[in-house]
Amino acid sequence: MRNVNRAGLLARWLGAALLVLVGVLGIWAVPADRYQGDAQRLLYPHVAAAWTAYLCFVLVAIGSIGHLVTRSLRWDRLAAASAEMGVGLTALALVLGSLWAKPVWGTYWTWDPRLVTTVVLLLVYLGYLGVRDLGGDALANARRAAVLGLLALVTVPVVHFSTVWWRTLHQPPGVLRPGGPQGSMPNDMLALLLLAVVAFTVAAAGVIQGRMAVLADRSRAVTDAEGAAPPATRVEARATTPRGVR
Amino acid sequence: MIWALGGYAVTAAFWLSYLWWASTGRRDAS
Repeated sequence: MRNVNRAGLLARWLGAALLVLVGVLGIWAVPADRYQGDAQRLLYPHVAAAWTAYLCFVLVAIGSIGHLVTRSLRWDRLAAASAEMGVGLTALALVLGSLWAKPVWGTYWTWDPRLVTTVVLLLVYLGYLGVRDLGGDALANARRAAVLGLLALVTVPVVHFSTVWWRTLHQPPGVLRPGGPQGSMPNDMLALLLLAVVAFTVAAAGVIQGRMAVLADRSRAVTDAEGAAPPATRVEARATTPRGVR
Repeated sequence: MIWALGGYAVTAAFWLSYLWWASTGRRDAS
């Protein structure tokens, strides 16, 4: 019988169901914004994607610290899977932001501090994933990635507070802001935003768990291959470690 | 409304891809 982690599977199905609910409520149930019209409906997935991406990058740092302290590859796999999820969510937030910007700002893209720092964030974590694929000894690779995964977290607050620190076209934080929520968002809109964040977080947790299981399987496959092979070919087995194996 | 629908379609495609990706690629442990 296939070994399926039930918690991860449950999180993926529950996340999918909640995402469908957010889609239905976001398009049909909540009212359109008085000034921005229907385009403002993109707030829910856009902000949820950005916040969940932040959370994923915090998990990368936690996994990195965990690995540096314990040298366990399980923590390293948490960092790897979280980075994969965070990079996708950052790209999604950028795409949704562009689709929202076109009808509201009149352009898909502008060289604004929030937009530029978000692209830098995306590139930093793409670089992190690139470094993970350098190969070589699994422990050395994980240690190198952990140091980078910890340093990369510095970019997250720069992105979040870019709208406060610099003059920008992007609206400043309304909820996650210094001094607490501003309270300008109507309750039904705020409730749907929080539901979207929950849906994204549950789905992301399911994806991260699933990817951790895949990475663990691949790691075991390499270990088995090395263990079964005569000593002369072990180096070769390590040198030809498939892409993505930790 | 077209922008909102487009964005929700992109979001749906994104999550379908990621959820499918995370559910595949495991070795059969039987």
